[in-house]
Parts: sequence; C-alpha cells; structure tokens
Amino acid sequence: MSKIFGQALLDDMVRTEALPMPLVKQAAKEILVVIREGLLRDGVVKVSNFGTFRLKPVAARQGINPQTGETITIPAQQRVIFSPSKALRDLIQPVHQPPQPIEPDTVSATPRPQDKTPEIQEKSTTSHPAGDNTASTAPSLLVASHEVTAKLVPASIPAPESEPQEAASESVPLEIESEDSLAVRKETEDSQQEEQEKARSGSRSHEPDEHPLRGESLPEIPMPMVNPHDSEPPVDAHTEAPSRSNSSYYLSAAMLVLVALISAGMLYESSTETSDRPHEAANTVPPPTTLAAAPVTTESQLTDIATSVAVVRPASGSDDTQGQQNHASLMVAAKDQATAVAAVTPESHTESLSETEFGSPVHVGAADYFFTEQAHEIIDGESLWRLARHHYRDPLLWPHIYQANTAFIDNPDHLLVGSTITIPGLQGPPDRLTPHDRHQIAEGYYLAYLHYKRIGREDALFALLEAKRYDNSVVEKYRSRMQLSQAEELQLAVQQTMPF
Amino acid sequence: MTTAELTKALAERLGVSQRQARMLLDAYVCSIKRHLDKKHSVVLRNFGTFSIKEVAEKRGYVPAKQSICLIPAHSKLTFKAAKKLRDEVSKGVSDE
Repeated sequence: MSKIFGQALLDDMVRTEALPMPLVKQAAKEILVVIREGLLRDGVVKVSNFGTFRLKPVAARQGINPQTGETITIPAQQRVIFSPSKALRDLIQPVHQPPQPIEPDTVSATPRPQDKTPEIQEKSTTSHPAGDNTASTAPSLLVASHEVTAKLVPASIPAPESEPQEAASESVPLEIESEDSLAVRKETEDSQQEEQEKARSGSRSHEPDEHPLRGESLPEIPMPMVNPHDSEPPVDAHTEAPSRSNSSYYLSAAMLVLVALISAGMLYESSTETSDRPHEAANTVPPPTTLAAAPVTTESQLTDIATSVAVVRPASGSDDTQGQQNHASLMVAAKDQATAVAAVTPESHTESLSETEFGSPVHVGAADYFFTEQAHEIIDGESLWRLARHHYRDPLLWPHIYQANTAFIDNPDHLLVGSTITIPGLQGPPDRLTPHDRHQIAEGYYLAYLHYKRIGREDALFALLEAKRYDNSVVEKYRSRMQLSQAEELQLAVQQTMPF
Repeated sequence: MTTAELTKALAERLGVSQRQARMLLDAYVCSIKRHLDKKHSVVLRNFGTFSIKEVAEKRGYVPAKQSICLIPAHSKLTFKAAKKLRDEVSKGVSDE
C-alpha cells in the first residue's frame, strides 16, 4: 500500500497520453481548484466515471481532550464526502459477494448485529491454550485476560442509546479488573516468581470464597435470563480465575458468563427504556376535551375573519402585554366562538411567541440573518432538498424556498434548469428558527401538501404533518378549506409541534 | 456541479478548448484510478487522500428481512479531505 503523490500522477499522464508536461501540470492544479470552488459554490461536484464530492454539515459537539480531560466544544464544520461511482467501486471490489444469511443456531440469543459475542468467544478460547503452553503461565494468562477485557469493553455495547448509563454501571467493575491485572503484570515484570506468588495471594484474598459459577461447565452462553445487577459476582470470579493458572478453562468460562451478563444487561436496560416511552408520549398529548376551558386568542393578522379560526393556547406563561392582547382578542373571539375551530398547541414554551409576530414579520437587520436572501440559477442535478441542505444546512427546510418561488416552481420535485429562483433568507439557524421562519416553512409545507394532493400522491399528508410541526397556526388557518378524512384528522391531532 | 460544468470551468482557466479540457480531466481521473486499482493510496496535496480500505468480514442486519447476515470481507475506497480543504469548506460555518 504505497503512497502515490501528485507528481507520479503527472508522469503517468504524460507517459500514457503523450501530453506536454507543463499543460498537464497546470491542468492537474486547476482541476483540484475547480473541484474545490464547485464544492464551495454548490456543495456537490460530480465527476463522471469517478464519483461525487459532497459537503456534509456536522454540528458543533462536545468533546474531551484526552490528554487533559477537559471538555471542549468542537465547532460546527463541513466534511467533504466522496462517494465513488459504480464503475470505480467495481474496480476496487470486482466481485461483489452478497451478504450470506447466518443460520439461526449459530446466532446467539441476542439478535443485535453489533453484538460480537461469538467472535469474543473464539478469541478467548484460542488465546488461552497459548498462555498455558508458555513457561511462566500466570503472567501470560494475565496479559491475555487483560487484552480480552480491553476488547470486551467496546465490543459488548450493543445498544447505543443505553450506552452512557451502561458504561457507568458496567465499566466500574471492569476497570477495577483491568487495573488489577495491569498492576499484577507490572510486578511480574520486575521479579518473576515471588511476586507472582504475592499477586496470586493478593488476588485470591480479594475474594476468598468459592463462587458457584466456577464449577459450571459452560459450552453455551446462558443469555437473557440473568438479572443485569448480578454482574459483580462473575467479575470477581474472573479476578480469581488467573490464580488457577493451570486450568484456563475456568477463566474462559468466566469470560463467557461476563459477556453474557453484560449483553443481557444491555438488553434488559434497552427494553425497559423503550417500554417506558409510550407512556411519556401518551402523557404529553393533551386530551382534546380541555379545549373549551382554555382562553382563546385570535390571530387577527393572519386568519381572515370569514374562516375565523381560533388558536387556543395555555395561559400560564403570558406576560402583561400579552395578557392585554389576549383580553382584546378574547372579545373578538367570543363572537366567533360558535363557528370557531379550536385547537391546542401542546408545547407550553411556544406560547411566549406572541401571535402578532406571525402577521407582521419581524424585520431583522441583514447582519442578524443566518442566511441572507440571494438569487440562484438552477443548474442540472439540483433540487429544493439539495438547495436547502446546502444553504440552510437542513434539507427539511426546502419548503421555505418553495414557498417563496411558487410563481416559478410548478412542481417542487422538479426544477427547471436555467430558471432563476430566490432563495429566501433565514433569520435563525435551523435549530433555532424564528417564529417568522417557522411560519414561512409551514406555509411552504402546506403548499407542498396541496400540490401532492392535487397530483394524487397517497402520502401527501406528511407535508401537512410537517406544516403542523413547524407552525400549527398555518394548519388551523386553512383547515376549513381542506376536506380531511377522519383518519387524517386523527393523525394530525397526534402530531405535535416541534419543541424549539 | 456536474462534469460538463467542471470541464467548462477548466477550459476557461487553462485557455484550451472544452474538448481538450475534458480529455485532460479524463486522463487525470484515469491516472488516479490506475493507481487505486493497484491498491495504492493517492495523495493530492492540500486536497485529500484516496485510499483503499480493507473491510473485514462482519455481521450485518437486514432490516427488510429482519435477519442477521454475514457481510463478506471486501475493500472499499475512502477519501479523507486534507486539513486545508476541510478548513476552507468549513469557513464561516463555525463562526455562528
């Protein structure tokens, strides 16, 4: 796997294509420059017969300096992704073997793909005979056990969602274990026999009583039956195991039990977590019967009085000025109450946004914009999704562009090459959208819904659900014009607005 | 940006015809591919590195069939952008 640098490429080109060297040199330089500029301009560069370069935004995240241990913030950045074309992939890997299904009996009780229990089983069984054959059995065994535990820690985490808790609960005994064996290993390096004896007695005195698990013969892993909180006894059995250097069988058996317990614990944890969730979700959905009791405000700017749609919001967080608005609008709303369609926005923290903000968009200085409005000429291969991904760093905001260009875009899924559209500005970043932005995006989703409905797309409702997610008032505003079926109403009622 | 646009921009910068520019581009790409075919890594200064990564046999999960399968060992092409390119494309992103 030698490295080839640019000059070798140039020589290659000159030799095979019989081109003048200066031209080739210049070309090689400019190709990379053009690709780079294309990336900066469009966020995607396709090179035929080769592949596609693409920019992928990565959000800012927390990291830990491994040397000092301090927490640092890794800033948001863009990564350059290269996906090779089919031709290039076939060149690298000419024969594609299809994935082979594994027989159910070789699959362990855990159906998770990340679970590498069988591999570890093999490793532990193969590494121990080697330890037995060497002259100094105890140190090599300790080394082996230490290595295996080190492998165990990353490999035996099947469920990423339960990782932090599990790491906290499980890694403590494991760490102690590995430190023990490390310390023992260092001692044995200094002086062989006497220190060995000490180490053995030390580890033996650590847990003197015989553990029942040692006696068991374990060819198979007894997987999910074990309580995850019983994981300490086998770890202790594991620390004991090196002292019996001539019988590596117990060690490997203890290892297997350890692996089994950890993975069982993961399963148990993740299953309890998932079983908890539905209750939470059910609790946060407000029952529709509480609608009448809540105070009513109208969005006078937005809703035309003919439809008279009233949006109900919880009164708890409204301050003085909002209270006055509420009072004034209550009077208006009371008259229309009979015909008003009421709904609740369940997120209590969206109530701090006053209704009038939607009607008269907040004028923010251009410098405050996350993205300033600009004209854009459609080129081949572009879509609203891609434009939104590139300019807003969130492809889900594509209706924002659609909504601003309904005059030019007939079908949001198909843009005409050469037509010029306006990419509207965004006041806040995608994770902190301002109310105005969210209103515009919801409008865009509503327009997309109308389009999909018109062309008879079956899953058109998703656009409406998205619209409600971004701004419920938009859905309420047009609700009377849409003939929604009962099932659709139900789906809409379940969908919640996005917590911002 | 497509290959056609890339060719056009290249032709403008080099002062050659688009046909020639396309030939140069193809020759360049071919040259890279030839070396990648020999399992060499290709290092382009201030741009990035193409390298072949050997992926060991591993177990995968087929969501459609809801079954576990064995993905055979294979090699794949990876691209790692150079620090300069990464910084250039990330410019302005981190200043929020």
